[in-house]
Amino acid sequence: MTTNTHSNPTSEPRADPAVAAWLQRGQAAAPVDVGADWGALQQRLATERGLGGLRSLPTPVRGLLVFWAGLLLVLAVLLATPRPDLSVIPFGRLLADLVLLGVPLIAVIVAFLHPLHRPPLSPTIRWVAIGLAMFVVVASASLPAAHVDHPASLRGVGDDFVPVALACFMFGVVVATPMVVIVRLFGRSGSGLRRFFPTLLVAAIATLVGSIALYMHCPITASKHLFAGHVTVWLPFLAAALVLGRRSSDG
Amino acid sequence: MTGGEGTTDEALMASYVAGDQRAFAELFARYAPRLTRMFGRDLRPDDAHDLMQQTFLQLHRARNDFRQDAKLRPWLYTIARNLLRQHFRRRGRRPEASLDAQGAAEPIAPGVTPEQQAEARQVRQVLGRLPATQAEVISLHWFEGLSFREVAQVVGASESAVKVRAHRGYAKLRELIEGPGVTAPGAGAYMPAAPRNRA
Repeated sequence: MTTNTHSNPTSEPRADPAVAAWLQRGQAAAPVDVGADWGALQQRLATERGLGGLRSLPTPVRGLLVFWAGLLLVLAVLLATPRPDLSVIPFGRLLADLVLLGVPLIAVIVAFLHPLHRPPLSPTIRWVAIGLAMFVVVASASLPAAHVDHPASLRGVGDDFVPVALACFMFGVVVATPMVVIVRLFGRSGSGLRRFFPTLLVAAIATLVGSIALYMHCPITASKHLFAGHVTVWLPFLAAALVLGRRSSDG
Repeated sequence: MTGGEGTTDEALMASYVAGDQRAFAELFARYAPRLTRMFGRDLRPDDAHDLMQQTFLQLHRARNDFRQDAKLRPWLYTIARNLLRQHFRRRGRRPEASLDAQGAAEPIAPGVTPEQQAEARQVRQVLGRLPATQAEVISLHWFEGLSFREVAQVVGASESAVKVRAHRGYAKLRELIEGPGVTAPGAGAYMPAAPRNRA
């Protein structure tokens, strides 16, 4: 048997005649009846109307709408229950904190909405996005206090530590939960929340929006409170992601 | 605008994006059997039909992302391969091991002799012994008729990387089919399936 595969592998590779003949045996193709599939597909497509049509929007538009939805939630919190010490936070610090939380939010939104007609993102990129989201929430709570100049910022570290931390935790979870629904409306995945990475990405999006909302709402600057009442917003979403996606290694 | 066989895939897709449902039906008629066959090489028939439907559902969802200057075929096959990849990840199996692991009993298909079917199964089994990236490139090129440029788009690699994979895969295949337990036919012509759009 002779081979005529090229010595330069970047030129058009050709199977030698024996391999070519052998591969042709794998082409034996029976007729396929797809008549029933057309009807089944039409039933699936019928659910794509109304809100279901949101996932058919162009990917950049979906990304912007998800981001704006998060922004609207944060703005609603800011308008309804603004933190009383907003005026004493140095502007640079305020901006830095929001960028710190906002950039990973964009990263996880992009990762979640990555369309199927493109080659998949590597697991490394997705883990980095998720890890970054977890890291910035912790890092944000670890930074030195932006100020200690407002009486409202000094609460929640004494006898009222647990109730105040619990109140913040509940607030963050309540604000973040609608994001799960909103993100799902724009996601195209067929298997939805039963897949590991998408579920974690949804958890990260919700947590980051909840964290930004809490930042605009809660004046307490003590790390002890931030860890107990703010960082913990991750936990229910992370737990839900691990439970829902535990049987999958969709990576 | 809905055309017959002469209408390009891209023109049909443009019509569909503009709202022509018949264009979608025509695309379905063109690609549903081919995609079902592709999925059927790795999956049970029910799963193959389900993934084919999911491919068209995703095509529908992504229709507004389709660029006018893009080629539809690699776009569609990228969706299909991603769905197949997800399917196997959910089940924790490698594609090439699937049918054997499941002990799937393939029905004798009309129009294909039992011998042809056995040969095709043997080809799949031997391909399954290649590294997955090499097997994927060879399958897309030979069985789906995609050019190496289109295969590169589907697998997300450069065209030269895809050619290297094919080159190495062919060399490995030659070793395998010369090995024990594989019956090699006589030499034949080099002729991948549906050799249109070859770059």
